[in-house]
Amino acid sequence: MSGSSSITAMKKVVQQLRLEAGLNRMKVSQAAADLKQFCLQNAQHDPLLTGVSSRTNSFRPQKVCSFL
Amino acid sequence: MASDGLHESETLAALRSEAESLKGKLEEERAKLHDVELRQVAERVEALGQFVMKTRRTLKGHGNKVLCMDWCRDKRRIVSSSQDGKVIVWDSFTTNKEHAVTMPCTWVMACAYAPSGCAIACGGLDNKCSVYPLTFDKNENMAAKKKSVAMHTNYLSACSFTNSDMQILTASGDGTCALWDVESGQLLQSFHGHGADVLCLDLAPSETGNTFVSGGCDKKAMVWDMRSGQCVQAFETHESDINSVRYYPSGDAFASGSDDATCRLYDLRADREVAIYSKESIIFGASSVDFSLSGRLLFAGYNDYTINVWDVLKGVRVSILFGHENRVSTLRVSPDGTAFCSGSWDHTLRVWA
Repeated sequence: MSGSSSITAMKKVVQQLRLEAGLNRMKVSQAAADLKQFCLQNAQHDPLLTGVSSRTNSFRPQKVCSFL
Repeated sequence: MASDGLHESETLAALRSEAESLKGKLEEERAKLHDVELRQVAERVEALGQFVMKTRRTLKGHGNKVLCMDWCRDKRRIVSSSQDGKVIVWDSFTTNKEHAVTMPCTWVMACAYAPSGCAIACGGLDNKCSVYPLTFDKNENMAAKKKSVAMHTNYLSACSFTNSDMQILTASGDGTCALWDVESGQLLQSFHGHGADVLCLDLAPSETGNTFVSGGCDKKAMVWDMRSGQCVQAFETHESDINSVRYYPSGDAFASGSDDATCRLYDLRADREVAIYSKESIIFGASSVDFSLSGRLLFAGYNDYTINVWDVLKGVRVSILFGHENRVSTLRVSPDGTAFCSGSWDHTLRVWA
């Protein structure tokens, strides 16, 4: 019956919401501080951020060597 | 009977009101912890300087719109798929095409490179995800070794190998995601919950465990437990289809790109949206997003043919890249973070560094 299938569907929605409501959450200030920390700690190892030189970046044009 | 009908509608009403009150409680709980904005926390962080990023390689060869691309772990090979039904494997250093296969369908919307580099997966309007082993034997026909792995009841929108060549995760227009065993084609787990087409997915970085995030036409981003099939968190702040989702490198957050012309950052431990990347002048949808290695930069491809580079912490745009002559449909940073590749409806792929 269509009635019982919408009850089943509704039960699933309620179950899911109960699960989500019960989650342990962190304050945004703490979470944001951790995101910032991660960025700063890994900044040196981020070639697109630091602009890696031609020598080490395979896609950038190589500087031409000239024979003296 | 009349009394049964009455009983059912009472139960339904009771469930509906419980659902409403739970939703209200969720909002309250999330709001309580919203004590600051990410950009405020990042106020003292040094601003980023000027970026010089240019197209370093252009990959030409597709006969129609490029819909998807993926990098090989060797940091140089790329697989791309197109509306014309072709899937091509390129050496991005030399721009040579190493393999090409023609799919039996048009609109190959998804493609992925296997972790070993020895196979690729793809699919689209055929509702399937197929795996092709890559062979360098000129006498072998790549299409002959094709293995059909996933079967959906609508188009395949995204696919990704898990940490090995043995399992594939798929997303589909049928509203579900699924995990498959490549060898047997067996369905290992299915993920139900989206109310409309699922358009994208991304696996959590391996250190953070067995979860993945998906985004769909229902404007929701959902985080799933791969083992149980359970949705563990859901976010609904976008105002239109979510075209792309990508985990922040630490695994604690993910970014999304949407047809509402914004990209957003959701923190998983705070369980809420913590940043919006938007400008009044940006009115076209974001189709594809990816982070630089440190997570400081977010690259986003848009339907107005541009790529915007965002400072993830400060929430401001730091660069705008022109070059494509039609919508940018796909974008991924290389595995070693030295470059990123974009694919477009202009039939080409560009590698930027």
